[in-house]
Amino acid sequence: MSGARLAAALLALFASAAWGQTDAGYERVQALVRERRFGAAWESLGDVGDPLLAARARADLLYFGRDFAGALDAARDGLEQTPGDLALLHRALSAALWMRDGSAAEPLHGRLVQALADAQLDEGARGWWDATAADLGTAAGDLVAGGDERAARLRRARVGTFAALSVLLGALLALALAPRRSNASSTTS
Amino acid sequence: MNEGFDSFQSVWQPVLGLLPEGFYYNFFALPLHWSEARGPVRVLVLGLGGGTAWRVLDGAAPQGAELLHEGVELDPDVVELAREHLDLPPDGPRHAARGGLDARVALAAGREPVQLAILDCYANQVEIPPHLVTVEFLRAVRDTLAPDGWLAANLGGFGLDDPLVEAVAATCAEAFEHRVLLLRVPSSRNFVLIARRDGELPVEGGVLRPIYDHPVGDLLRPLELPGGFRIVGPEDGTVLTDDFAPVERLQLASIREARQRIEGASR
Repeated sequence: MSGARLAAALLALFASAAWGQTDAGYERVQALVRERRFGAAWESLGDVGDPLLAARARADLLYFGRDFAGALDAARDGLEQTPGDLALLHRALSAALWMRDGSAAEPLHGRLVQALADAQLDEGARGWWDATAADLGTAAGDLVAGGDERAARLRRARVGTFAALSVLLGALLALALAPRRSNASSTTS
Repeated sequence: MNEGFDSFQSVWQPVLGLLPEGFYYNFFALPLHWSEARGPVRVLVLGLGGGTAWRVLDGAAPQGAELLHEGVELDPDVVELAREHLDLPPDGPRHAARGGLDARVALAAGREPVQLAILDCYANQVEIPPHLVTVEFLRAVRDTLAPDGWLAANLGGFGLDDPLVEAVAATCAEAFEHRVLLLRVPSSRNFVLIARRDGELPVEGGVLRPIYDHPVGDLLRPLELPGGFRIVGPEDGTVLTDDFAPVERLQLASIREARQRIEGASR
């Protein structure tokens, strides 16, 4: 997924109205984040009454303030209370992708796919979610594949270095054990 | 120029001015706006690379500021390549690039006091040369600044409490005899260290001084969140000196701590 497309999808998601739920505090935090008034949004987090919306608001705020580690932590905290929440899974996965943390992204994508399968969604919403989950899954897969490739290269480099050192040591050993030539020249009379 | 992994040594875009989000070079423009620079402003870049800092500052400086650039780059071939491929200006009244000089040597050469010094020297992609983060070197940087002049330095790390970031900041505070400011660069693993000679830091009532009516001001918005910035004094980290600068050890500690945090969060 391209960065621009991902950003557009995330903005569209963020702009959506809390998945049908309303909470004046949540709406206020959303508005402040849209205005990039992050400090004021942070101070307003306490006004969000619903615990699930509070967790979403916190994760979203940190995400759009580009504190991805903080967003991932906040989303994970929320997921402890509501393990199948699509918005929190989406936010956690997006943050893990920004951090290029494949070990976090891959299982989060699996959880998102499972939660999506279990969710009751209308046709339009399901289409958006399916496409989004597929895009994020591709990005997570690429990240993991890249990590695997780097690990394989490291293994090959180690094996190659070990083999070269072994050959060198063997050669030195052979040289050391070889019968010595006499430097004295023999003369006959 | 991408040397591999995630480390970019120089960035070019067709227009002068701010780069997209996540590039620390943008933050080098902040001091010029905080001090509302006008007229001739001397800027010294130590670690010029391909001249990215120049291009950002030339397009993002306050209106009315006339920047007079001097840049120092260890590798003369980088300067030549940048002139050929990255629009690095030729030497003239407003730009002077000195290739083939170590920053410490160049600093000793002497010059007119500068209003903004930028420190962006790296080796092997992500390693800070130890002799360029000691208290002796940073005192020399301070001494090249005009009264109320600024230092902005790029540091790589994994948090405002990163051992290496903390040590360099504490060392700088010792050298400047004032507390210094660490800024988190969003969407990156960079931090920008801001120090000032004999002047107040731009922090008022626990928040960074806002910058109005310029896109540079928007850089400050994400820093309103907790963990956006930190004020550091000499007591907050190891002060590095010419005979004690264990930069590699601090960098190793930085990586180990970051890995522990990630592994801890995954459990």
